[in-house]
Amino acid sequence: MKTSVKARMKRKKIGARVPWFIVIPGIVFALIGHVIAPLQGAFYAFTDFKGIGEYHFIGLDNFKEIFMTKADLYALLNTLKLAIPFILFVNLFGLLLAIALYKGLKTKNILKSIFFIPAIMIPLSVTQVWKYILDFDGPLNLFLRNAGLGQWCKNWLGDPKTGLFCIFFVMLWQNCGYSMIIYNAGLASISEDLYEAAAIDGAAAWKRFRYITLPLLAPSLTVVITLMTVTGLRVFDQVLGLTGSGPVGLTQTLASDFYRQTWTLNRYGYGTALALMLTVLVSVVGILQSTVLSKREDKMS
Amino acid sequence: MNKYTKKSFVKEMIMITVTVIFASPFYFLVTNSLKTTKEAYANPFGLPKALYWQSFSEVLNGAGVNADFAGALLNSLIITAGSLLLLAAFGSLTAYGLSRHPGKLSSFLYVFFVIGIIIPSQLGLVPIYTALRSIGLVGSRLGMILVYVCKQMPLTVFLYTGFFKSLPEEYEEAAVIDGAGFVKSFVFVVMPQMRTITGTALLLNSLYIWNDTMDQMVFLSGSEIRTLPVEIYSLTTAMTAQWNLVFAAVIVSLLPMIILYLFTQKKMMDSLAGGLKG
Repeated sequence: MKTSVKARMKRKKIGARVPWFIVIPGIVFALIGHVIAPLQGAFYAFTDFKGIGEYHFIGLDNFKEIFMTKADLYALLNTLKLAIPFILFVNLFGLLLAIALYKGLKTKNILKSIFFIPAIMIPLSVTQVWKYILDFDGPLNLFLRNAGLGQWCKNWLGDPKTGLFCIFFVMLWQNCGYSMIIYNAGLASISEDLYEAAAIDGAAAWKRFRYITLPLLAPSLTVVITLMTVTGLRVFDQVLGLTGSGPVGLTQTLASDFYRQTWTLNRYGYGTALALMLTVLVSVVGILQSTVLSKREDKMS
Repeated sequence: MNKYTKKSFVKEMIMITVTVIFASPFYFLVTNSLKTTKEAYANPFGLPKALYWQSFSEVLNGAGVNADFAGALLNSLIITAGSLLLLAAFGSLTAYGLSRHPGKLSSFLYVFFVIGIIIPSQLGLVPIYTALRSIGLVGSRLGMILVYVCKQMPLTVFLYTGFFKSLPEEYEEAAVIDGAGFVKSFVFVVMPQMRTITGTALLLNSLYIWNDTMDQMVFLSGSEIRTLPVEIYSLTTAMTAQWNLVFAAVIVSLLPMIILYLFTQKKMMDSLAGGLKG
């Protein structure tokens, strides 16, 4: 404590030479993007703003309409249907990959790179390959037909049920390499001594995993969950690339519905009401998670 | 480690198989981009009979496909580079100022930046759009750059603040004692030490900006200034089922990031794995 006061005094000395005004541009940009604009957006959510001209305050009408309109309600449900399994499985596969590729393999570095590379690609671009594979005349159905499994052929992207699953699958395919490298960094931070000590004590491999690896990966779990929750709830690119929200809007998500209502249908007020719902959803889930997860981390360590 | 046991050999073979299945979409991507449209349909699984490079030249110069991927590539590069430059300049200055003026106001601003990273920014899109439209910056590179500078500022300040807090001040003190003013000590003493953290900030921001679709669709679609995601989207809606063309365009749009990865490898992985925790 004493040293920090001392350090602070020292910093003040230098601080006298560092002008305050240099902080202004960064703060102004951040304020515009993350305070002023979202607040004004939140206000538009309660209006019938159409992008130009006059607009009126209409109270909760936008939200009432969202809950009364089947297609918009689907957007909310689909978002949850996609995000919840996505968060679970992207953690599971990321962890499994990280453990499988952590050591012992001669090819581990190149394999890790291959799993990681989709995570740095433009989602809308790389999704086109999946659109091709899953197309009714695409390689997947062709393969099934040639293998004598013609009855399994489906219009994968044209049916809302399979379409939603395909969106989920492509999200998982693109992001599991990302969660893998976070878990990989977590594994690398665990000291070998712990395993050696446990091995001397005669702990079996499973027990070492259960009582050393898992608890010490808790911080990585927190990072992956936080990151992937935002990714999952905001899903837009895969929807646009694979199904284009179709058929008849049955695979749209909150983000894609926001885009469609605002920029295709020019219903700016209604669109921002959807965006407000998305923001509230992400914030609430984020706050809940960070309280639960930080408590869990404390308990474990 | 160097010699296979039966068990390690089986494990290696299993993982290689899993990886090959995982990466199989890239086989379709590359082989079909080098076939004619007809051949891509008749023979989707096989290797191309002869390498047909014309799809690449067609999407790059826009002959007959009404798409200009050379231009889109340039626009994406300019927008990303411009945003990165402004973010690094203003982000580092803000972080430096805050970290050298410790106190309640600085701590409060720091928390503000952290919250800004997490809250999704779609909500602010409409007001930013109408504001930029009123000053004629929708559909322009500068407008797009300003949007990204606003969006990515919190993350950038967060990264630099973490760095400056742990940076020992002895060098700056020495510079002050030698009579250097702020500008001199920042440029000659602080900036050379910022190299690593600037690398992290550049990588994280370029990944976000280069790969982002929604903002670019909102601000640039239908304009003269189209970036890679926007051009990909319009190509796929106009050229349905001409997969050789679409895939050539997809490869053009993915290559710059793959090249960046090949040059940075571990640094990029580490930035993504650890960047958000600081």
